[in-house]
Amino acid sequence: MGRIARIVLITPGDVADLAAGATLLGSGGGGDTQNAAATLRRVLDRHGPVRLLSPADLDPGAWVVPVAAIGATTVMIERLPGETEFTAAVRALERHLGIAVTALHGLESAGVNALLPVAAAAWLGLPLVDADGMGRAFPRIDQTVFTLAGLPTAPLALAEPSGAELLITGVDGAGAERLARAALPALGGWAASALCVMRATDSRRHALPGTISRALRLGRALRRGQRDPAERDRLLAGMAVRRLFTGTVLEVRQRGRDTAALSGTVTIEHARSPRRTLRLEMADEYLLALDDGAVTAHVPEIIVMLHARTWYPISTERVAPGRHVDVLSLPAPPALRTPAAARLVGPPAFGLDLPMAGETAS
Amino acid sequence: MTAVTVGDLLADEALRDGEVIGGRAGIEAAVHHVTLVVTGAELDDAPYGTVAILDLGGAAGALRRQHLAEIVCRRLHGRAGRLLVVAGGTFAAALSTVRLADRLGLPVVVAPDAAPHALAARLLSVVHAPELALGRRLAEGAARLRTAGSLERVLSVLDAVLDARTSLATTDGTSLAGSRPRHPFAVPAGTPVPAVDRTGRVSTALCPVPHTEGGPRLWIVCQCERSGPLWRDTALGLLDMAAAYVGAWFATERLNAERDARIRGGLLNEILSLDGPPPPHVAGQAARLGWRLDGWHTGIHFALVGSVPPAPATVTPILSAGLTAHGIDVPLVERADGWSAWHTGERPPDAVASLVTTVCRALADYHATSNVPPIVAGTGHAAPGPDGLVTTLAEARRAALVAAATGRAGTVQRGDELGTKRMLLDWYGSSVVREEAERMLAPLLREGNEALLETVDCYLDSGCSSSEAAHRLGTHRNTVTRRVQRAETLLGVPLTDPDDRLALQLACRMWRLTRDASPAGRRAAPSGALPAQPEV
Repeated sequence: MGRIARIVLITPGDVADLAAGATLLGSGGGGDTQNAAATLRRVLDRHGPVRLLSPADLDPGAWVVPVAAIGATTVMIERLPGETEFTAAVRALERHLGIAVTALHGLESAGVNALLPVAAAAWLGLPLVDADGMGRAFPRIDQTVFTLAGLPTAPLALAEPSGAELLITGVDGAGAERLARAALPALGGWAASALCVMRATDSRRHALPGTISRALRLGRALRRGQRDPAERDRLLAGMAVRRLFTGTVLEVRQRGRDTAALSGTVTIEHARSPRRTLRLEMADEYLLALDDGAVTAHVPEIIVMLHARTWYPISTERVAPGRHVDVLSLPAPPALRTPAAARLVGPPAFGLDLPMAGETAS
Repeated sequence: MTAVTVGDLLADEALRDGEVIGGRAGIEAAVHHVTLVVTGAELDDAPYGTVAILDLGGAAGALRRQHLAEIVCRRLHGRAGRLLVVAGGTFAAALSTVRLADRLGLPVVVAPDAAPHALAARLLSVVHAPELALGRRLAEGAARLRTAGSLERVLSVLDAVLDARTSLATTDGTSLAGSRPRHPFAVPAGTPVPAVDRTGRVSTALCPVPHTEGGPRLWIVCQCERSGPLWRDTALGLLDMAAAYVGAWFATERLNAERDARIRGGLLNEILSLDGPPPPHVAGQAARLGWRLDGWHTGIHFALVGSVPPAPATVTPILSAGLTAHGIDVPLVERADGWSAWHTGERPPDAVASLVTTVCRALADYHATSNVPPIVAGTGHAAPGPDGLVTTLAEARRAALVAAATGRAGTVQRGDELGTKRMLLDWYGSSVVREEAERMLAPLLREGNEALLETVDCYLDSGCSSSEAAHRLGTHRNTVTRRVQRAETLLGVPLTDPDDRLALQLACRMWRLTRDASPAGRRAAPSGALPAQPEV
């Protein structure tokens, strides 16, 4: 009975909070959650709420599988995510390994990938483990704590809405990432994926716990801040969020993505001391913040840009000169802050040399 | 020498092509050390006054290291650094970098093509041994000045070695050659000596050119926006050397011009005195000067009005340039009383009129130049061969004499339109006639009788009409009549006799020509439009 008491349900009423939190954790990337939120709301209305479990709630030998959409989230606006491909991806892995999956699991609890696993759980009638591999958004499927723990990424099943399925086996995480990216154009731009299949005990030992409920809590706080600006400072303190900078975007220098992983540099002038300048480096997500030449935040910390008045998050694609913005930093999960993790999810993994990161803001 | 500054390094050849993106306020700061930054640890013990060279790591690494410029900028500023050079790869300066450099007053220079190690070595040598850098630049400048040859080349050597705009200017700042100075400057008062002056970011080095007699005082002016004490020392040394070369160049040019003028004059005299076909040495020399002796020649003669020959040699290039500007590309030879020129064509020209019009325009432009003596011109008939050249030049010269008689600068007289004036030309040229005229007019030439002579001249030119002469002289008719009567008495010649009248009129013409040609003899023209009261 005690186990049942710990069960949390995700209902249609939670979707808005989850979407807001997911966007925040997207750190400027992760895809627009608006469509995914509408889909999830409809799915939950039809199939009922989704049970959110802790890995400890499961039998240690039970199989759990993380699911995520990979590819271009902009294509998702035209090719809407649906039941077919997520079910197909999970079933393909089950068939291949001859197992029965007990619960779905988060891979990237940010952006659309915080919402779609909930929808997939509803479609499959399975519970969802409240844990993931990133605790934020990252551009590569192998940038997870699973890779750091040595858990295999492959086999990896990909499925797309018109019925095509692809199974990738026999490669490590980087290989799976490479092959999946190569296949995506042929699969129509994005695909549902099931990967890093593991036992509940591995999830308990290695996965980042409570990240889906964290997204819910953050989303709730963000939405309260959007409604009530007077509450904002208190909310930031409560979420362990640092405010890095408040000011006006002066310049956005975009780079061609064909030549570099980095997409651009943003210059922001401080609202109260106009001579003070923040430099933001970005790719899919915001990666590095330099306040007058001092490093104030860098990946895997979650750097977020909010519209100063409305507190709506501004993605790296939408940042434009003239915007009044708040730049915040959310701490990364401790597992991502180790020296070993730095190589996988630190600045060098995003094409940024940072030999002088020791210098801090004064 | 005082310490090398950031400005000195920016003016150095190694950083000359670099772009200063911000922090210009720190350009005057003194520099003491140079360090190459790869990891950032190099800055930990960087001494006061350091210049940091951030190695972007070549094409492959440049994009990964763009943001480091700001991190290094801040750390360098914290250690009282003086300059950040971003080198060894493409750098797209974000606005944030520019703002940070400006805020900290730390100049940031982007030199994408510079090799960081070589750059560091070079800047180290400039910072630690500025005398070496000074010596090297002076030696380089001296070597290049030695082979420069022309004025323009000397100025361009200074431009290149000093990374500056160099000009040859007069004391009032007018630029005669080279790149016009962008910023105002003032030459030092008193004895002309080399000087260097700094206004804002601009340094101006000035050096007087050794004086050329008769010419204006000239200065070499050199301006640079990236400069420091090292640059100023180098500039003073080099300008001093260059001034000697420029002075020598002027002297040589003058000598060459005088020699050429002498050769041309001699050859023309030889051609004019030919009796028969030109001998080979004359033909050869003419060919070397680009003169054609065959073909159809149209002579032009330029004569001075109201000033004593010979014409100053300095006028020749001005006149020559004026003619060339109007498409009259002809030999111009200095003569005793002016200049001879001639146009040569394959066929007899259709009309001399167009040539005359062009010469008129060229003279109008020439007279627009300040401080030039007034000139008139005459043209001759087109005539073939060397003999033709002699004839047409003689004709042009006579026409010029007639033009000079009008006394109006810029008049061009066509030789083929002289008509009845032609008869008088021999008169005008003859010294016997001149003496006879002087003798005849002697009583009127005495002191106090000028008005009488002028009145008689005008009376005769007006067809012996008292009223017209009175109108032209602006005096009363009775005054004219009275003066003419007095002149008749003094001269002892009655004007009623046609022969006497003619002789007197010719003598008056001679007098007018001679008077106009001698400045001392010139008098103010009679003025006053209203007829005055008759003299008693």
